[in-house]
Amino acid sequence: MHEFAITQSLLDMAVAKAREARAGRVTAINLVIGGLSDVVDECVRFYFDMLSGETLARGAQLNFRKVPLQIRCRGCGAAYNPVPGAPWTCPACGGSDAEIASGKEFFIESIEVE
Amino acid sequence: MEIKVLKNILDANNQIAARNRARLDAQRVTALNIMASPGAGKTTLVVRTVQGLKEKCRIGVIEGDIASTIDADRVAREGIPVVQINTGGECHIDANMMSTALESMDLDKIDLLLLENVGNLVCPAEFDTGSHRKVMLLSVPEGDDKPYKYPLMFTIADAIIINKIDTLPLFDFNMANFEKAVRGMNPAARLFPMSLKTGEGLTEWLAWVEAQARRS
Repeated sequence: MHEFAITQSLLDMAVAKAREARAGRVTAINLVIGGLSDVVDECVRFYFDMLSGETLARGAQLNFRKVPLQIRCRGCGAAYNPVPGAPWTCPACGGSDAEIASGKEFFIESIEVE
Repeated sequence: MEIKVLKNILDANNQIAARNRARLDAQRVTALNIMASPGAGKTTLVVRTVQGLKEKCRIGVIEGDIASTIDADRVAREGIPVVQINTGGECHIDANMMSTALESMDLDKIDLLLLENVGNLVCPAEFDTGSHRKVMLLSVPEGDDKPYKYPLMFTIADAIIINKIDTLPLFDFNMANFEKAVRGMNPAARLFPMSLKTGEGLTEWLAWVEAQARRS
């Protein structure tokens, strides 16, 4: 997995944003992660503690808001959450043509600073 | 105090990817990012594609591998420029590695660039490299349920190859179910049933690749 690279990237973004705001310290980073991502929270936290030591974000709390994978049926428009790994079959009409409505999110929503 | 950020965590990667793409565009090079599990047939696909098209267009190859140079050596025997990236343990090629590899490739001398990504159905789907088309390769022994297990990979692909169809009688791979799954989640993708061993389906694939290389 690539949690190391992801953690470095989110740390750099948070620190840059905090500097821009002339903040003294980042106390929290609020992340939004969709169900299609396989990022392991614990792994990110581990690397974050390791990488943030000498930065403005040292000791910041990482908050993960998970957005479940949601599918929208192209046939009837119904939205549903598929069972992971199981076929995408619309519970309303039985169709299998579907698009991803949510679950691709992978961003920093905000940071908390003081 | 809360400060809104609302920025993709992979923003830095995506910016480098966009620069890679602009650089390739300026040199009129079309890049295909080839992704699959280990053993699906990525290197064989690259070799067959080079053999089939090298008289028609000038091809370069970037070989991504965790540590070895076996694949790069195999492709280099075709007498075309090959650049090896050893990711040193990383499970995918990111835009920065691609950018470094592009430094070592004479882009004036090629029209088509094939990037063989690291064998993995998860991480490569998340990292844009700057390629123009994403190609994913699945082989029959891996099973027809893979689109639902790795939906991101199957939804981002522009072309999906199903390789090793000569082994269909040996496995419980249901082609109709597989096609239904792929068509359902990614109706725009081109599907290529293929056997790189027998050559079945290769002609259609080569025609598609040639069309992508001539798009500019």
